[in-house]
Amino acid sequence: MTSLDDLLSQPLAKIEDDQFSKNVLKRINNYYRWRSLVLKSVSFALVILFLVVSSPVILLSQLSKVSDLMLVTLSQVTQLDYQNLVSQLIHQPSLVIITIVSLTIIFTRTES
Amino acid sequence: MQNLTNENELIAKVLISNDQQAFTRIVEYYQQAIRQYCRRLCAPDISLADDIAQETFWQAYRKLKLYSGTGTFQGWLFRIAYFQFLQYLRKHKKTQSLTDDEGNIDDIAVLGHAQQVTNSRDIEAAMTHLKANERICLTMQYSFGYSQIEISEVLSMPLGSVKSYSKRGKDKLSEIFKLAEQHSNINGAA
Repeated sequence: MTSLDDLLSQPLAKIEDDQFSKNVLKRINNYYRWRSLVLKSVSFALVILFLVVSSPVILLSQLSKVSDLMLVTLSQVTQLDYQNLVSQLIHQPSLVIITIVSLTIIFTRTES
Repeated sequence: MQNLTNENELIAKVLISNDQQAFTRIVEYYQQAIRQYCRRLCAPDISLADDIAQETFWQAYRKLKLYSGTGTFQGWLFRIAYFQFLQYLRKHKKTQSLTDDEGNIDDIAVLGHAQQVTNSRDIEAAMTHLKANERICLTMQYSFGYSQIEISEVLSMPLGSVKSYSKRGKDKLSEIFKLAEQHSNINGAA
């Protein structure tokens, strides 16, 4: 009679892959697809929220300020005080939000 | 099973460039061992075993950077699978199926199991009547060639517990096979 040790040492039954590996990969891809979708949705929601909160007039004035600031920067590069520029930017909440939203969109686009 | 020659290279590719092809090769190579292991762990529920195996590879992919390289990659996957199984038991409040708190063999239960193990060599059927920890300690030791010290490290279990589960599992199996043989002799004579 075969000893218990021999019985236990018998090789285990072979299992065919049968789409298992593909399913694992599919799951990984699904995760990234969902994550990307969620990030895009959050970015979109933030943009909508921002547009709702700040009126188009304010938005346009902020954008014109940005363009003015850029013109000043380009024309007076040598005299520019970077610290002042940064502090000016930080003291504009709308600009900060625009920057955050832009970065989020850029990040999600890069990832996808 | 032959070693995956460029295993470290494949792991590095996944870590550095998120190379899914490299990870697919790792899955293809280890899927059999992990699924065999999970089938023993979750016996007799094959569908649950495949779910746990899939979850194991998914967690391995997510936590690959935590793989320290000490011990085998297969051992690391076994560890993940075991903890996934524990998580499943906790979630479904089935932790009593993990260990046998009484510590002795219930003769009536063993007799019942023996009647189901019609063939005295049917190790898979007999295994389903052991507790999960007993099954997994015996499987790692005999089917995958791990020492009891390695099993205790992989499963984060005291060495004494591993020895105890292995011994109890073997005692139960001996009892089941002995009774199954007696059962088949009686049936043969009748």
